[in-house]
Amino acid sequence: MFKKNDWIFGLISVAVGVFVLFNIETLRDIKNSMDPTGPAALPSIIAWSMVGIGLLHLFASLYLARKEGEKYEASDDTKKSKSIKPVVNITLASVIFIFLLPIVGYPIAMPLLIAAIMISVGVREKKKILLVSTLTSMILFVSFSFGLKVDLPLGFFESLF
Amino acid sequence: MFDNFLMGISVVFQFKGIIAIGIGVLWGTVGGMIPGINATIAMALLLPFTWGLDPAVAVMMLSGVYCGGEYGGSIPAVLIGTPGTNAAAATVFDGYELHKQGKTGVGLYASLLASVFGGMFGAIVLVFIAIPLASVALAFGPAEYFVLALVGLTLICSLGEGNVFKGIWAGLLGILLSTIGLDPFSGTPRLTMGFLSLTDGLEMIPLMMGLFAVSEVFKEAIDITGEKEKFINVKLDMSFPSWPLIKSWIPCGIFGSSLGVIIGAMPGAGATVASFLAYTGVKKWSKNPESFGKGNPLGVIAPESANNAVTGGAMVPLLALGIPGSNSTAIMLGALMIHNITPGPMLFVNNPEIPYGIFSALFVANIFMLFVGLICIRFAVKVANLSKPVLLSVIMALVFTGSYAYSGEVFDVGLALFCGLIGLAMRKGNLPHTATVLGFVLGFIMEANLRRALIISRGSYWGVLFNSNISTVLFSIALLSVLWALLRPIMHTSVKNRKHEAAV
Repeated sequence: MFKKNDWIFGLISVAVGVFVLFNIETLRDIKNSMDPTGPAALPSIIAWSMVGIGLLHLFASLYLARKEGEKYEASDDTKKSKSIKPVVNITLASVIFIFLLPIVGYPIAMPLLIAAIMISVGVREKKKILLVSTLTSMILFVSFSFGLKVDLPLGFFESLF
Repeated sequence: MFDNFLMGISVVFQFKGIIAIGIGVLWGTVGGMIPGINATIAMALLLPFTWGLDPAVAVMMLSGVYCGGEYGGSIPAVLIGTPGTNAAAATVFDGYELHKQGKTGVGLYASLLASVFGGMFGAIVLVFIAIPLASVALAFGPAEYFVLALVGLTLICSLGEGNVFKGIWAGLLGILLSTIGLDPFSGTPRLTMGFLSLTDGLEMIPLMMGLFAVSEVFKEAIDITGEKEKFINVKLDMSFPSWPLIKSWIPCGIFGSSLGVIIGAMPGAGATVASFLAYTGVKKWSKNPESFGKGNPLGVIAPESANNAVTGGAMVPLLALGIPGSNSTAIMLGALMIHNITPGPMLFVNNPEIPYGIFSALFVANIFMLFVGLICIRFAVKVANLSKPVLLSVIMALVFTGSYAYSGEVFDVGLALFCGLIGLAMRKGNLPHTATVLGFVLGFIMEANLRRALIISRGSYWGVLFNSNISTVLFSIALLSVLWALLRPIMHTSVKNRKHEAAV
């Protein structure tokens, strides 16, 4: 059931649990006869359970590591950090999109995002990138703005619509 | 009941109802055909388009996507040996073999006919089971509802592979996320960390699209980078199977469908479990078990009828009890909640057009599926080979546009991205994000009913868990399912050790 590298999950679990317990500290006093448990009860039960599950994984992982002579392979980590490059690129492109969206508007920000994602996953043909990003953005903009009457941010194009 | 059926049929046979189901089936089938997009993701992507529609039409459209999505996955499974959805994985064993032997038509039409048969079977059973179950559910109070939600969660968590604690943790995370925002009883902000946008709680659409679609995009992006795009040119043999051959498939279809309905009604099991169990069951009881895996059409019929019959079965707990048994029905629940409709026994009283509309919609969707399937398989090779980089960028664009459109806040675009990263981390850590979504959906029901029940029991947890016979039985089921999940690996290991010792 348990694995040697479960200590990472254990640490995260304990951290999440402690974070929640710290955050709901001020809510503990909000109780009355009509609501005997208060708003902190359920988050508190969950947080303690997470701490418990986390500690269990930490101890199990330590036990397994000791049993197997602590043979951790460093090469795996370098492999992983290389492979997540497209995720980092897409995330960065998305964060930039989030900041740009209210300023430059959807008609400019969305084609840029699509182009960035395509480049991140290895597409190099400029024609294809241009065609897919423009066409997809146009279809989405028309369906959401005119079909669903959603007010998408227009940025520079505000005066046109 | 007959009047309500007529009402449901009249809703379905309105122009917009028919169009909605047709679009839903087509979208679901195409989505299911594309590896990486399953019925759940297809439903999640269509969710933003449904809030401008009437609730009944919206749910009918999603029912169409659900049916189409479960079927669509079988097309790439037969053609390229890659299941479009997890539930179609069992179809690969014999479907792809049939294709390699040149019997592509048999493989593709077997999967289409079995899917339609299974879907229809599930819909018929749904009609007979959901209403009696709904009347039983009227006996449920807050305590019973809380324990029922607990059962749903424990079944889902205990079905998690390998490490049961990770399943439980993922479910707890979902419940925790559902507590973010204003407390429903005292109005106090909880876990908002100063973000004003969080006071209303996390929005379901960006959360689901993030966990399912964005994390899938990330996973696929890691897998395809550096690879050349693959194309395959296969000449389809479109000959339709003969009637004697189809007739010989019927008993297997009935077996698969029955199993699918039963498993579909169990929260947490789902279409993948149903299709694999049906495949192994048919193989086990076949007179010719060695022909399986070598191109036996029954190896396509059993899993496909089972995974489509799940659609009807999965609606039973959703409509009758308000408990989603799978990711897809969790999205359906989300769609209903967006329209301020709460599923459960009172749905049959307050909004009869919804459940009866769904009953009728499932029939119509399966008829549509037959025609859509016939058209789709002709273009299957081209669509299933759609360039992945293009597909991934379009999915991200759709997710971000949908997230923004729902609330009009850029914050929700960030939330979808954040949930996508969490989803990816959960995949890497073998944490089932299914449990998180269901925890999130069930979290509010759990907390609201727990606190109501605690008021009635004057703060006694014992009084909540053992409030009535129903809650006692349900709590015992919850406890047993967790214990079974904990003990199963230990028992499995000890049996394995004993066998090993005996062999030595």
